[in-house]
Amino acid sequence: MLELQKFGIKLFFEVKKNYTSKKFIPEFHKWIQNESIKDHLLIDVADYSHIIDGPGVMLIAHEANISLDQENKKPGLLYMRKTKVNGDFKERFIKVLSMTIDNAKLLKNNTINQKINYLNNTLHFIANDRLYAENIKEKQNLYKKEIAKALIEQYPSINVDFSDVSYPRERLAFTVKIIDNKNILDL
Amino acid sequence: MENWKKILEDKIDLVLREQIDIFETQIKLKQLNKVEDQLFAETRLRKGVYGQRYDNGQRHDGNSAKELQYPSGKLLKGPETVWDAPGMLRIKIPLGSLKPEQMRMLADLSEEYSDSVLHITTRQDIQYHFIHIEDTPTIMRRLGSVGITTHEACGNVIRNVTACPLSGVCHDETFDVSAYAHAMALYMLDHPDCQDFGRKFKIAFSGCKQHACGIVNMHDLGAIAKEEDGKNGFEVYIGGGLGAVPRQAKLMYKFLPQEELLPLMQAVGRIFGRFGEKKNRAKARVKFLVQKLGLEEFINLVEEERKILPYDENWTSYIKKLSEWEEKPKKAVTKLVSENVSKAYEIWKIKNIQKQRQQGYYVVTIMLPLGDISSHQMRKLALIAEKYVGDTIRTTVEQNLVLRWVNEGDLINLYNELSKYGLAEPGAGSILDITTCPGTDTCKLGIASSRGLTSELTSTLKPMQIELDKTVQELRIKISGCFNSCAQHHIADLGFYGNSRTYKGYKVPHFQVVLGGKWKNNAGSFGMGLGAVPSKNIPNVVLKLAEYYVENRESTLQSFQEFYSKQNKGDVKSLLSEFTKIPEYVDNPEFYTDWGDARVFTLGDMGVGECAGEVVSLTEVELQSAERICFEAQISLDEGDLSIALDKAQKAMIRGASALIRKEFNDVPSERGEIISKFKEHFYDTKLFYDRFAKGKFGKYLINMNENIPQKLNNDLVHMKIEESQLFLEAAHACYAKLIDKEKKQNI
Repeated sequence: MLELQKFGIKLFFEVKKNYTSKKFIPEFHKWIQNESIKDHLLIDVADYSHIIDGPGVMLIAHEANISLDQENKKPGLLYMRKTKVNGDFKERFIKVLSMTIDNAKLLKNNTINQKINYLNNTLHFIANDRLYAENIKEKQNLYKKEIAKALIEQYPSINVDFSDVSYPRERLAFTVKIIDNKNILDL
Repeated sequence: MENWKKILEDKIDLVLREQIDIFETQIKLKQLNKVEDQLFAETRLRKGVYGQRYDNGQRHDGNSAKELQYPSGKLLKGPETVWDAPGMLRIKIPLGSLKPEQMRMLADLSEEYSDSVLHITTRQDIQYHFIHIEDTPTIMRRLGSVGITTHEACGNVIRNVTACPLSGVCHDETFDVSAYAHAMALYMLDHPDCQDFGRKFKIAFSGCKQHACGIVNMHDLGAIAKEEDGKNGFEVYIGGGLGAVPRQAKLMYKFLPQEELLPLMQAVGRIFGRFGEKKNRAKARVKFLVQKLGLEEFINLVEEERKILPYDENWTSYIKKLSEWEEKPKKAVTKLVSENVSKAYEIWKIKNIQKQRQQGYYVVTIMLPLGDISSHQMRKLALIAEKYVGDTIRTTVEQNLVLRWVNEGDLINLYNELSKYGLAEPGAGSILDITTCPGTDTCKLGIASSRGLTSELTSTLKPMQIELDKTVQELRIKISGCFNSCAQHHIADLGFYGNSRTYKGYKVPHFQVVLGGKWKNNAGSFGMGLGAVPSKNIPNVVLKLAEYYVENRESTLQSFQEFYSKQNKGDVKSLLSEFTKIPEYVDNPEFYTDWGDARVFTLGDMGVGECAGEVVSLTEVELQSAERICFEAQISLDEGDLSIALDKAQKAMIRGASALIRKEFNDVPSERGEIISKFKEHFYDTKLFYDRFAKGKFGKYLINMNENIPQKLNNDLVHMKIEESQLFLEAAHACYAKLIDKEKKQNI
């Protein structure tokens, strides 16, 4: 049984020369003012853009941390779930993916005139609980299998491939590539 | 179902395991409302579990104050502290010493329970932010499994014991203090004689007298390594501290034999617990007890207590094992082959490496911007440490990390690896290496954004770091978000602390400029406020002061502190006057926001564009004039006119109180006594003048201003009275802002 509740999905940005997550601070404040994310209690904005290999600017919610993550110097939008989501793992994964995509669209349509493009066909899965998702081969395969199943059940027309499995001692994580080059925001 | 408690059962020290189990039960009882708020707050604080900004369930989003409706509803974890609101966890790292397995665990936990960031504090601790109280027992267990505790990281107890991060490798130390600091931390942890303090107690160790790394003089108890007749011992200081009213520690013993170190602290603990203030937090640090009793009487009491302490073999057992602390390098010395080195490496090595006492080895400083390191970086650094230095990593009071025992031949490779993960920022220990507290980002007490200002200053100074005058490069900047001095602004060359001013009905973030502090000689002297400047102008203030110093110093050998002590303070103040001007809101609304925060600064419920009065009020004028008088007090102090300085410090408070009275009443009394009594009746007794956290402390500075003034004045006392006067005026500004807000609400 896959009990993992705390996990995240990151959608990578197409790397732009002058990109800095700091520019998005006012946008996140606006999200708080407008209560832009449904079913989320938005609390504050944390600026970690000064950490080159870190979480960037982060919108703290009670239910999740939404950050313009720059780990491994690969910028993207990371939705990291903190509180419980109902359903089995497949359902939870699809719900979290849907929330990530909603946030990605919101960010793309930002009100501060910053252009954001996503790598269309890629998402990065991060399990954030070493108790339920130890980063070992067996568990990696288990989560790959479940995620592939969840995606194909939800979107029957797609095929997926996996890469960039995280190093031992890091959290269990890997990149999911949608082979057919589908735009992830259209899923 | 598996859980960490079960998995780690055999890996945690039995005592710690029980402490965590008890805490977990207390959490459950609190959830059932079976523990009183105040009691639970002290319980969790002792476990390092702090509150954080907005944990009262209120936040101003830039448009209006909004209630944060957490799922836990009205359940509290302390007075005005909502259960579900994110909080901070402070983790004790005695003498800042970390092993790779601990670094990995700290990284893992920051990801799973915090925000993937580890923040190094100015007392060598590590902090997590945005944690949930129900996760804390698990975090503690997992930390406990690698030998780390959060027990007594906060609360009225003995806090993390700090020590110079160069201990054991420094050229100038008398001997390595690491083992002593560690023994002190271990012995005093949960010691029964130190559980009944009125306030916290901080201990620091230094291997030498002249450097800054231990900053002993600003600690409740400080120990500097000393040898006498070939025997190890300590020069011991007592009663130092920063906070709102800083005090230099007093010399307690010129030489205390090493065997007496732990029993001395135990006896001090008993005396502080027995005679220290318990009701009034503002007077409860040991510095106030030393002042109240006098140093001689305090020492007498401690020595009498020492005589009756029952013998404890732990006082000295560690001394037999001092040799176990001798570190061995991971790698043998090889020569550096420096062909084709990058320019970036050349710049980095100027400030970030220093030779150890041991031939061929170096200490490498990893300068962390704002004291932050990501979980990903920390994990990579653990690998790097294992590869190059084994387990000899330490946090520093300048919020950095140091790798010790780096073989000379490895320097370039190490630089390249650090660089790969963004850990090779140049400029450690320079003007770029700014110390900063969390400020308004996460601290409940923060007034202005210290981290925002630090980021901005870094951006300003970084491009010019090589071109800056050499002595300017050496300047230390420290920025606190409020007067409490968590970033230690009093001991910086250029110190700043956050405050706010009201201008034509709008609040404007400001920083008080504090000059003249001495970082060296273990925090040799404390600086004093020169005046408040709008936050947006502080980068220009730094450049102006640097330019003024370079143009007017006697020689390149004259330190900034020495230079400033010889300056006419009026001249320096007038130098800054151009930066105190505030543009009209309509012309520059951004000026009214804080650095790194898009919201209009503490506008309260006032809508953007609304403005109650376009004319500067008489109260604002009078408050400004009170600040001027207070500044004149400083000049008199510099000139040695102690009685004039004291009189001016008091006059400034009287003028500040008059200003507030004028705001509320038509008639202002002319007699001092009448002003004080009217202030007491209408502002102090009504709690209008109260600070949310300091309560009535600042008001008392005026009401009790004539208490305990000796016939023969001394420099320390008058210095303190001027500090108090400044704090009273800060509180008067805050009170005025409150009155304006109230007025606006009534007018809506």
